[in-house]
Amino acid sequence: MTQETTHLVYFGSAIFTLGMIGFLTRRSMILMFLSLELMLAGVSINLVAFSKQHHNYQGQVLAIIILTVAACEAAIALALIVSLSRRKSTLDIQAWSELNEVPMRSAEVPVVMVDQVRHYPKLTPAGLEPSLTPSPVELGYENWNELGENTDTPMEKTQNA
Amino acid sequence: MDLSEINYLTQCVNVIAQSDLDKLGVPQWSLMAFFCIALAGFGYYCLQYGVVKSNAMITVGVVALLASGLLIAVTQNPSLELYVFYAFTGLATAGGVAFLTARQPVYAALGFATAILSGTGVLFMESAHFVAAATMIVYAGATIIIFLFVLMFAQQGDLTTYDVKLNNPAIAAIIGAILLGTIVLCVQAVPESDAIAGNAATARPFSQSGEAEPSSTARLGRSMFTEYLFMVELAGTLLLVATIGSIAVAQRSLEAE
Amino acid sequence: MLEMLAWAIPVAPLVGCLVCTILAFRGDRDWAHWPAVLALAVSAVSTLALVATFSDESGAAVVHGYTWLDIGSLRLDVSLRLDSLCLTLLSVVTVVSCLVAIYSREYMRGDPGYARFFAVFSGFVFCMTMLVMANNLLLLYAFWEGVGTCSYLLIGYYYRKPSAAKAAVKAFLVNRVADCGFLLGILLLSYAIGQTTAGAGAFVVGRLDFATIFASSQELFNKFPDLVGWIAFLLVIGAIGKSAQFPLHVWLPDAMEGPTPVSALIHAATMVTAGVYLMARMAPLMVYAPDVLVTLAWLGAITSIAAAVMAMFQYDLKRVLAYSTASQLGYLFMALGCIAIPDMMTLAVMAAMFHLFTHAFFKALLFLSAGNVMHAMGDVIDMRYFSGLRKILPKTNILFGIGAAALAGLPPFAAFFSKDTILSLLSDASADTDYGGHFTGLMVVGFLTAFLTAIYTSKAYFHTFWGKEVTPPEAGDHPHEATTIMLLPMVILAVGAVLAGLVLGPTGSILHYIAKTPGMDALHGEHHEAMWVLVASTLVALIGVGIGYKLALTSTANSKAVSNDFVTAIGDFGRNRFYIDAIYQAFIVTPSEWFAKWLGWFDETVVDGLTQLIGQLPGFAGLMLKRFQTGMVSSYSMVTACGIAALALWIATQ
Repeated sequence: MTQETTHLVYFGSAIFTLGMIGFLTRRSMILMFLSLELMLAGVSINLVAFSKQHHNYQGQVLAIIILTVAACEAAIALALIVSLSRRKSTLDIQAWSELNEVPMRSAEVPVVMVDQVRHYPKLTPAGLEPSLTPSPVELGYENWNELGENTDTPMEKTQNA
Repeated sequence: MDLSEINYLTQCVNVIAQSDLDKLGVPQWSLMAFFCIALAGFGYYCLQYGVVKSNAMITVGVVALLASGLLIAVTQNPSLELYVFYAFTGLATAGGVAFLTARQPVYAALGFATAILSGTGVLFMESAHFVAAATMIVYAGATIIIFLFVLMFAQQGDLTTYDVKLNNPAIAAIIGAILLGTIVLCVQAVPESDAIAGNAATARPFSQSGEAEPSSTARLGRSMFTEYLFMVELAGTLLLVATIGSIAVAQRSLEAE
Repeated sequence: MLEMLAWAIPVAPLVGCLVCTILAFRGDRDWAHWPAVLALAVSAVSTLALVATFSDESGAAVVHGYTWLDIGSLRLDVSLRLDSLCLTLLSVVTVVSCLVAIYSREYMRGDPGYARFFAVFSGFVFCMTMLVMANNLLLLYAFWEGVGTCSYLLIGYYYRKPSAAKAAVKAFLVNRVADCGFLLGILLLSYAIGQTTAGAGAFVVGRLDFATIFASSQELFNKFPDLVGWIAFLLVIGAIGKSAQFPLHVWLPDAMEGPTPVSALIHAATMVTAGVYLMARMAPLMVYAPDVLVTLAWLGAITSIAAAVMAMFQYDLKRVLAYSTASQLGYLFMALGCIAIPDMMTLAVMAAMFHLFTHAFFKALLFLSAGNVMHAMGDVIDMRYFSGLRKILPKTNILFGIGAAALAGLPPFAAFFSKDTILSLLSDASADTDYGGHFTGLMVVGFLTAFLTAIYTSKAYFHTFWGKEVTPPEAGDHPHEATTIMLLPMVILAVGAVLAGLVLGPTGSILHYIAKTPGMDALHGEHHEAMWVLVASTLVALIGVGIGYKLALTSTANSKAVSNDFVTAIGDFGRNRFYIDAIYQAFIVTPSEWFAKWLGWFDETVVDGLTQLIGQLPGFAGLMLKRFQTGMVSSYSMVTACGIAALALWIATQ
């Protein structure tokens, strides 16, 4: 690499790292979002540096794409931030922790073990119709095979009788 | 500080810059460790106590910048261009640090704007005029304005806890230092050369035709709308989708109330 | 032309099966017989056309279909083999199934599962024709299982009836025991043929082509004489399972729970003959295992006499016929045992196929007649509840009479000739120096069985149709004769039952036809049946019929008349099927249940306990890890950044 590229890479990396530290430490949602933008800017600078190094436009085009993505991100992130801050009337990111695991203390709540609710899958035993309607034999029909399957269900017959 | 000492310093800086670490007789990773520790300590200090809040700190910073500029001027004998380059990068880094350490969100935003604008200056110097202009418009213009708007909308009042209290500053500083140190080390490991322009795999026909210097915005436009047309279209679609999405999100939040 | 006809035979029933399946899902009860009957008619006509036109110098033609599977060294071609042996059985299968399908149109009319019946029926014919025509032992095995499945579905056709469901499961499980042996035999054979010159280098499945098997059987015997015996033994296990021979005969009588046409087609005329066909097909290999063949013959003999005794004491008309089927199949295996005698392979196969051919006609006829009786009597089939039906069912009376006469072996009905062919074959075989003694005993058993057969057949016939007229209350006020559509196929079967023996046997046409099958021995001069066998079997049949007549009328007149202790004891023994089912229950089923229970315990405590223990480990890990799961973006991003830093350090130290 040329010395110029090297310096640019250092610079881009510094900007990126600063953004990352900002993202990690800042608690305001807006500032976290700005830190993300800073990280993207650092990456763009690196891309432009390599574009110059390689004497073509790939890097610059990619930087422009990143710019577009950043703009999109700004639009959606700000909309989200507005809606989130309306819910809890704060910009603190730590106000949002609903997706956490149950705290340690409540681990003593008895967990239902598999033993007590063990339901093995069962095949329908041969000779039984796989449904909940009782079989005609159970209902006392000897001439079961003359019953219609569709029109005269055993249930209806019983009721009629 | 006599001249011989300055010469020694020159050598040291040169050696570090050229990544010729064998001359120092120190293993690279231990140098990196030293660098990282120093950086993390400095970062932690800045984060914990801030730099913008006291005028003394600002003074120290400006003096340090000037001193380092002077050092570079004496040791490197640089061209004017390099001066400007260092000025921009220094300003951008200072802006970044200010962004990190400012307690008032508005100040942080100003730091962010400073960093981005200075970075734009560097981009101008690197002949990426269009990218620089676009960055300036999008970041320093649109984003900052919207940000300030949201900030005023969402937060009317004094400083809050979450503005003042940072989240694990020490760990963040260490991580940042490690990352930056690694990048420096890795870049130094790359052998110095003029350009990889001769590499057929990466060089594109557009850049090889005519004068080698890719300075023209017109060329960039031609490249974008011929070679990278699909990507540009994709980006445009993304923008459209994001517009619709942000409208939908904002509307839903209105309905929720 | 040949290929088209050959493919039409299995494909037509397959199409019929698919169409009927669609109709079954639509709940059809009126139209489903059309696709089935048409498909089976196409199949039957194609078969008859093939029988008329087929002539190949080598005696066999292979119709290549398509490659079903091609994985590395495994390649499975679906192709058909045509020769005299297979065409003989094919003509039986397709013609009888077509006739039975026509009969079923009336018999099953209005049944809720009408379309389902015809779908499985066609599916069965598809599998059976493919089984018969398969060019490859593995393909044969696949469709062997296919007919087993169709049989299962049809036995359990009235799936709401617990006894039918149990019978279906029983048939399936007993067949599974046998199929296990069969599959092992196939695998062993595949391995062994791979060691011979003919089979070396062939695909694993290609080694199982019949041509390859026949070509390499001599070398196989020279190389591994013991192994050939084992292979033959395993194939015999498969055959006796499907053909319901002792000790795996227990499923056949219970299979009568299916609809009567099914009993007629599958459990009398076609599927149960698959075992016989397998033995006949593999005769060029089986001939090298004479001991196994003699065992097979003895198994057949035991089955034939035991089933005959059991049939004597059954009250259920269909079960009488079922035991008689097992008994007659025993005959076939006795005939096949004669393959063991040098130079008698062709005769043995011919005798078996001949009796199979005639038996298919008269047994289907008998079953369909029993179906008529059942239809008229309101689904009562217990002979204790009806008798003297000749006025009510005059046409069925004649048809049943023809079938019974054929079964009893009265001249000039079909079974007279075919049974005599087997008996004279046995008498010829008893002249052999090595195994003569065995075959003398087998011949005696054969005559005894013929005697018993005549008794129980005539007893059933005379009891049902002669004597005092008694009808059960279920029959209603006015029991009726079957319709013309039911009687028409029966008449055709009756013609077959009368004439098939006369036309094919004495003229020697079936002998010469079967002899054309490749792999069979050349015929040595003319074959003459011994005169004394003819006379003796006629006498035996006549005496048996006389005794049966007397028994039937005395039992009708006064059932207490024969309450002799000894006869009662024998009767109980016979009615309880020699307690074989009880023995199976005590020695196989119950220990299996115990073992299953123990396995269940083992599974629940040891295996599940281990699994639970392993399942706890992630729980403990989770207890520690869940403090990272704070639900907050900051901590997640911090963890991610730590990961990145670690990765960066790792890169830096490289």
